[in-house]
This record gives sequence, structure tokens and C-alpha cells, in this order.
Amino acid sequence: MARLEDASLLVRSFMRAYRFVKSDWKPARLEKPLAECRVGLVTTAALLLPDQPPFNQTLVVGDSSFREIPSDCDLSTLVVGHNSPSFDHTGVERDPNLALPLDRIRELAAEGIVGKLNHRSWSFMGSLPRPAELISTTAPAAAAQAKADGVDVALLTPV
Amino acid sequence: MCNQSVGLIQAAFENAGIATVSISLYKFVTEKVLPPRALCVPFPLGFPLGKDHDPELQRKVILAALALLKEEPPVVRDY
Repeated sequence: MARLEDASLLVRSFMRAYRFVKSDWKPARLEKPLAECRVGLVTTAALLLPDQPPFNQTLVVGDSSFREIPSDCDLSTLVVGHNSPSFDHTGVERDPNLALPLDRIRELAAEGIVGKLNHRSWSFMGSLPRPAELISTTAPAAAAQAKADGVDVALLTPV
Repeated sequence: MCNQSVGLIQAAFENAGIATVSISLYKFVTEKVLPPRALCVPFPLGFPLGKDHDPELQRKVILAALALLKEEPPVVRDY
């Protein structure tokens, strides 16, 4: 577990004063065995492909947009699209599976543990101190795409 | 902020009828955001599935997270 004591003074002060937003949801239940489920991945590591528009890091509220990552992409070309000093980017840059485990889900599907990997994943930039637009617009838009794809199960990772 | 953002995106997916589970690197944040299901992992920021180029560890963490899908939400569990 990451410890707040290890963060910079600026980050510690911010996190202690910040009023975190409680999530609002109704439970969805698995209606079939995991072995038959289509798995969708979501990360807030701001991963993007070289030909995708960068995340806007100049907005005070943060950039709540997302990039669709095709599952057949070359993982080695993915880059971390934000320069937050709050976390160590090097692991994800060396191995994007650390945050977007496309290869791991494909392996679990090949073993019959999950059904299949969805043909696309969703990548957000997680540093969103004012998440109103994320809650009202962009997160529901990504969720609607996943639902349309037939995704049964989603695994989400922060960095 | 990443841990809050994950929980809020997770809520949107859950509300779309998709069963969701997330990884948490900051338990105190996840306990406040309280998404449907979260696995709190003992790794540093930037390393949600453990280590880069460690497929075995990544797989174990993913399987532990997927196991939470069978539980009644909300569930916040330590890896």
C-alpha cells in the first residue's frame, strides 16, 4: 500500500484538506460464470498511442476525456500521457501490462478462466481534482461504449 | 487523485449494468470514495499490479481482484 507519509509536503497537504467524492452506484451482479464473461479494462494511467491526441495537462480542473485503446495495439508503443510527479511512471513505461493487463487477460481467456478480452480498453488521466465532468459525462460515455460492446466485467486500475 | 477517479469511473460502469472491481493503491481514499468492489494492494503508486515484467504476480493480483466479483458490494479487501 502506498503511504501518504511518503508523498511530498504539497501532495500531503492537498490530500488531507481535499474532500473526496463518494461514488454513487447501484450494484450490478454477475449473471453468468466468469468463464463466459467479456472483460473490459479501464486505467487512469493516461496511457495513449502515439497517434492519439495528448491529454491536456494545463487545465486546473483536469482533463476528463478518455482514449480508446484497441486490444490489438502494440503494447510497446503505449506512452504515459501525463507528467504527474506523484507517481513513478517507469514501471508502466517498461511494461504497460502493469496498469493495462491486456496480455494477462488474454492468457486467462486462453486458459478458460475468463471469457474473452474486449476489443478495446479505456484510458483516462487520473489527476482530476474537480471530477464533475467525469461523473456527469465522460465516465458514463465510456461505460455506455462498454455496455454496447457486451462487456460483462470491468477491471479498473489507478496509478 | 487516481484512486478517486477510478472509483468514480467504476460507479459509471456499475450503473451501466457491468460488474466492476478496482485496484486501490490508497486505501484511505478508496474507503471514502467507496466503489462497489476494491482490492487494496501493498504496492507503491505507479505499480497497481505489483511489478513490471512479472506476469505471475500480475496474474495473482488480477485473480484476487476478479474473485471479489462474487461478493456483495460494497467490498474493500486487502490483497
